[in-house]
Amino acid sequence: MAAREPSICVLGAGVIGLSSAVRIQDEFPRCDVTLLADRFSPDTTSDGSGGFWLPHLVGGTNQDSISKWSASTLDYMISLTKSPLANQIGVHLLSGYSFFSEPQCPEWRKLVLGYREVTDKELKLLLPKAKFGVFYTTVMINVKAYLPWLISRFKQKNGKVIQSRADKIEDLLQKYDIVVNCTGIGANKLANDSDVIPIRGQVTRVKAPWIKHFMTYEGSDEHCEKYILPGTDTVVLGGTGQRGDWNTQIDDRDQQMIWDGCLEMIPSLKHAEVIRHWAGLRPHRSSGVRIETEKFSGGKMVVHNYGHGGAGVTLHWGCAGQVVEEIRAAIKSTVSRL
Amino acid sequence: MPNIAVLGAGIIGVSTALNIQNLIPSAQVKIISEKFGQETTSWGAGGLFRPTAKFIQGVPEEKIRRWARAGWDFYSSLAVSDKAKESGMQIVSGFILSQTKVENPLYKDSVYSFHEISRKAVTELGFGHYKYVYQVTTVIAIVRDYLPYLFKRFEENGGQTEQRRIDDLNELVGQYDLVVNCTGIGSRSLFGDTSIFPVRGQLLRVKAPWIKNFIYTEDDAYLIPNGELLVVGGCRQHNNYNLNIEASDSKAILERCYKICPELKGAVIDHEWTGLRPTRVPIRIEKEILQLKKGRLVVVHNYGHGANGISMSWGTSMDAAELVKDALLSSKL
Repeated sequence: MAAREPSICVLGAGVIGLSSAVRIQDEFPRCDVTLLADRFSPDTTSDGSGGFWLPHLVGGTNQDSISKWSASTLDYMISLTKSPLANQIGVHLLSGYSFFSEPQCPEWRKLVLGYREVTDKELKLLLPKAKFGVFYTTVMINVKAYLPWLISRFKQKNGKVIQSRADKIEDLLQKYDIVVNCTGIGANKLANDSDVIPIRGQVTRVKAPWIKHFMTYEGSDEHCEKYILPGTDTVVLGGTGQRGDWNTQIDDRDQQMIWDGCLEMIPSLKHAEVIRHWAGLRPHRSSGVRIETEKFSGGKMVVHNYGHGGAGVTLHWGCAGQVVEEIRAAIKSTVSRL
Repeated sequence: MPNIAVLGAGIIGVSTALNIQNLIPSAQVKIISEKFGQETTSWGAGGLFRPTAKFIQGVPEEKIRRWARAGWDFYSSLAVSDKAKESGMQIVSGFILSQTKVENPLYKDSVYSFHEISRKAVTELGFGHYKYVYQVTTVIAIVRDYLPYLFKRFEENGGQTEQRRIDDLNELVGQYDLVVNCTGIGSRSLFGDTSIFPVRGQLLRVKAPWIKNFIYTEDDAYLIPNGELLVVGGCRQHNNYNLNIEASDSKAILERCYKICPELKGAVIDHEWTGLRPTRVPIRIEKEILQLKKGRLVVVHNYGHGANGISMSWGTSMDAAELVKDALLSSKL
């Protein structure tokens, strides 16, 4: 391999792709980095998501990795919330309650701020049907602001952006030395990975500025967790979790179920103005997030970074850091073979 | 059917009028005031429920606790009901920053929670320059929704209003069975009470919907989410009657608040406001029988709430209504 800096192409412009591209630029300032995707904000899966930091629906990803990546992401997000640019970046601190039908002891309790179990008084006042609840402070991202901010950072450091659809990753290896595969649900086809299947999620966004806390409820009898997440401009009401469902059209029954479930938690939502509905496909991988380097001839490689399920926002910065480590290790071993 | 006049249409006047109606359903209650709604002192208040004993001097602590408890029960029940939007009652969490330990505050038993947070969290949140940081979940009243909400209930119960400035109490003699004084700072001239004095406050309301937590200090820096707007304050200027907006005050307030909330930068200012906290030691809730030129006037006072008008409004109004009931009964004997 010639002693020049490798050219890198990041495939995919959701939160995984953009954060990978930005962190690669930061760590390898002499490399040419190109971002290639068929869809950009506000049309990616990430854009429709709630943007709420919480490890959720991560398949078989091992716990140490989840903790490492999610902690790194949360620390970074918290520091951004205290920036004078916080609104432009689209991040804010959010406190609130998660209720359950049974006692819980989640791993992430050590990562969020001020985690505590709720008192009987709070349980009785806020959601009597729940048996257990916790209060904590975490971060919520306005993805529609965050992705454009990442892209502008990328462009400022001379990153090139190409809008195009890639049909075969191997074709890109003719032009680039390293391809970083951040295609989410697209990896099912592009990486020929049948382990990637959608978990469909539907949400409703409403205007309810008097709501300042998030609230979630996970019951044993519920088909899926219900949640209320106050974002910058709208409050996100959700949700559903339909495995293997590729439908991105709005389902009326899901809409009603979400509405009823959320109104049970916060009755005053009945006066909220509905802004829009959305359904997206969480790119779930049963064996867990795949961050792995696949080597090809001529010193070329594909670094995979996909399968984040319902935790793309939650894990993105830590996973991008992991991709950087993969590239660093691979470049080292390639160079040392010369 | 007792005929009662409530003087003043701020949060105290309207709350007291409503409590009188609740306690004495046969009463005909009329609110007489020069100012209503957005002209009242209450209108601009931040509405954060965090009553502190040291700022309510001259009143026994268990009485303040009772007022706080009564207020809390009322506000929190509205906040979790489907009336939350209409009544302007929000459940909000936030941080109280202090250089001294906050021991057993009045509101600890009332509010949803009050906890000191870890030093690590304090640093991550950018509050490291404060020795003690507490995370609190309480209620905030958006007064511009709450005051009209109470007013609507009052009118639905058959309450009447009269827009009128009373300069001489003699005007009321023989007109009403009892007069309730909720004129705040107006009591100085109307009732000759020179112990009540203004503590001037100024604040800004900005658009910062990404800020969901309140941050409160006793150093004239606080941020209180109020629905679509965020209250950014404040100042405490004793014996200052100035009702003009002072640019220098706003500038200083913003500088203080940027220090504890850097993410406030970029917030668009919606408007500025100034009000005179009607401060008295103690808050005056008592019956008085005045012998005026034209005759006898039975008065129940409820004024002087200073910086705790919104928090203490419901509890003190309940007490005042009880005094009204007692006064009417004793006058029948």
